Amino acid sequence: MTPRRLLLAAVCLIVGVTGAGATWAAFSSTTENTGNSLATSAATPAHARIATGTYTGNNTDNRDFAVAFQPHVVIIKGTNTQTGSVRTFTMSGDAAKPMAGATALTANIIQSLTTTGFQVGTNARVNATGVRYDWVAFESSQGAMQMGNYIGNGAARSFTGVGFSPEYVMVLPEGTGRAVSRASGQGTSFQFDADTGNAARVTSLDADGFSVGTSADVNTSGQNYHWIAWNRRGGLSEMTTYNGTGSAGLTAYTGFQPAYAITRRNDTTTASEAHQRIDSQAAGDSYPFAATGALTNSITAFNSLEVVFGTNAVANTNGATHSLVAFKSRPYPGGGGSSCATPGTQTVNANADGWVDQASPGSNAGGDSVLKVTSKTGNANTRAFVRFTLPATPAGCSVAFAKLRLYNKSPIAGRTLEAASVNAAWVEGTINWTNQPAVAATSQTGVPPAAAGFMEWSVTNEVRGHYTTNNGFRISDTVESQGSTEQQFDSKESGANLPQLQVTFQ
Amino acid sequence: MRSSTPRKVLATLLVLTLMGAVTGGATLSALASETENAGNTFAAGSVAITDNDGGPSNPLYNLSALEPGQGAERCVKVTYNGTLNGTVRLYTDSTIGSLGTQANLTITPGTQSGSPAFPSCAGFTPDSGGNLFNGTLAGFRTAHNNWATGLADAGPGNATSWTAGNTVVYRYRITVADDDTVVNKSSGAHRFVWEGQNQ
Repeated sequence: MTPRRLLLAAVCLIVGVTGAGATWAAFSSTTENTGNSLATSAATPAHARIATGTYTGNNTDNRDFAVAFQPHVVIIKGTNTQTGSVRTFTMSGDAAKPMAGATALTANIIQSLTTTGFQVGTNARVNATGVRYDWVAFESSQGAMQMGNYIGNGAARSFTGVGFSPEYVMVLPEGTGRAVSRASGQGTSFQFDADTGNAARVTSLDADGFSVGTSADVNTSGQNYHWIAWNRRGGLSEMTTYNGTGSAGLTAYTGFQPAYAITRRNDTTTASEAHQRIDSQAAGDSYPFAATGALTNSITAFNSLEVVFGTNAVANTNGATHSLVAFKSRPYPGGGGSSCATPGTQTVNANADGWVDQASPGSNAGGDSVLKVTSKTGNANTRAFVRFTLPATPAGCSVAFAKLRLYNKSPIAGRTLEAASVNAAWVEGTINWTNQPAVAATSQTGVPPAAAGFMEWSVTNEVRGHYTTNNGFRISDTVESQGSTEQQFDSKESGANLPQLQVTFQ
Repeated sequence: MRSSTPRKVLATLLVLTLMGAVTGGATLSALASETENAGNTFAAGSVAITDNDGGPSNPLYNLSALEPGQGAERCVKVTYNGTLNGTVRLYTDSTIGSLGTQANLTITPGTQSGSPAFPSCAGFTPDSGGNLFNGTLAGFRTAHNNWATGLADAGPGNATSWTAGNTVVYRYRITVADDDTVVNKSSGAHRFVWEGQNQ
């Protein structure tokens, strides 16, 4: 290279560097967000299995539909102008609750929940010829979803023992009271069809249960009420609120793709109803629980992490707060859920039972073929005791639900019987009124069937406790020393209709 | 040989020039130095960028005991102030733990109505351009870990540059995989950096 060329190169380089320096003169500023972190749970959590599906009605009675698990709650809504319906595992016989309107439990809707699914009758709410129906089924699970029933007493009261602080509770009266609910973001309790709420229904969601007021929808004296409580389970269920914009395309984050969602405007001034969408429903559709057909502008879609809303005022009123309850489809065990390898329901018969008589306090009736429960004046009450050998808990499973079933041979309407865990051991051949053990302070109540048949009590928490200490149950009238109301149940010695304990593992 | 002396002189001049250039570059780089204190600004005459997180003790997310499939939605507002039009890039230079490959991250720019407190996403409306990033947290770290590889956001409303007073709300959706294999894992503390430079 000649000196001249070198000089030229140097000059060019100087110019170039200067130019580059001008380019490098990038003034910079940063801002940052620090300390973000994620950590997962140490073990796989239990979950409530959920499944959805669809079918076309044919007006054939006793139609069975398969679900991948024993459902404990099933909700069905048709595309026709019929109300949505719900049945819980705690409901006895052929009965389900219309979720809108002042209608008592009704036959021929969801007739039963079976170990393999559910059965519907011929009612147009669930099985009119040619009508499309969509359903969602839930399985009870400890820490995720619980259900039970109680007998109203007309006084404000609280229920505990749910096992978690519920984020959403439904109460379903057997009578003509309205099906109602309360979500954690709501300041009152709403029915499913249009209303402005009622502060005397579900009055609060508590640390381990919920409270009810004196509304006939939740607490008429002597009436049986069924309840379902859901917990928020991250990634599986979401109970939240969102603010409406009035614009189509509004989204609410759930963190998962929902399979089922319920929304309503939290409005205590202007009546509003609840809307629901099941992911099996046609694209864009959602439905009220009331006797109305499809909506196309309410819950319009389920995306991978959110619910999408249209402009329907129920779901999306500009400036209003709305509540959203959403569930993810999870019909299978494991896979991020429970490690229960063999979920399902097992039924065992009593291994000890008997009844005791206040009028004959030293007598033993352990070998009798009946169990007598009586409320009677003159120190003549009777009580029944029953105990079961509990089924072995399958590996990785826990008790999701348990039901005590006794065959009531002589039901008496208007009586309420309670099942309470017994505090100390007893022997079938020696138990009598005098030596009968005391019972737990809390109990579960049930009402007799209309005719001879199995009477049931939801005893989930009691049975969970029995896996630690099992002294069985005592059955007694909730108001003893009143009239003369003897009810007889088949005992284990009867040879038929033996006392049963059904335990669902999950 | 006669040309050897001038050549040496020129070579020396060239080396000095290069050294000067390097020195000059270093000086210019100093003008663009960064601060790592969240919320602080380095407005070297014309560029400043801030966020609304309120300080280093307020992460977008600090989630523990997550169950499979669980996650969260959080938003942060970034504001650009400066006399020069700028470019903003987003990156993380933090070490991401074992959960990073199973944590799905979606970052969506948009706007937010009202004045919700950090990190609420109430009133968030995404820009029409869609997500800025959708992948795993670990994938974000691999792809965007400094200014050079930072994820460029052209500006509010899909603009071509950021100008004084511009704000963008970034919606973070972080969700762990719906899979048993996520249990008992963590990501470790990590930061997100928004860096603005003039165009």
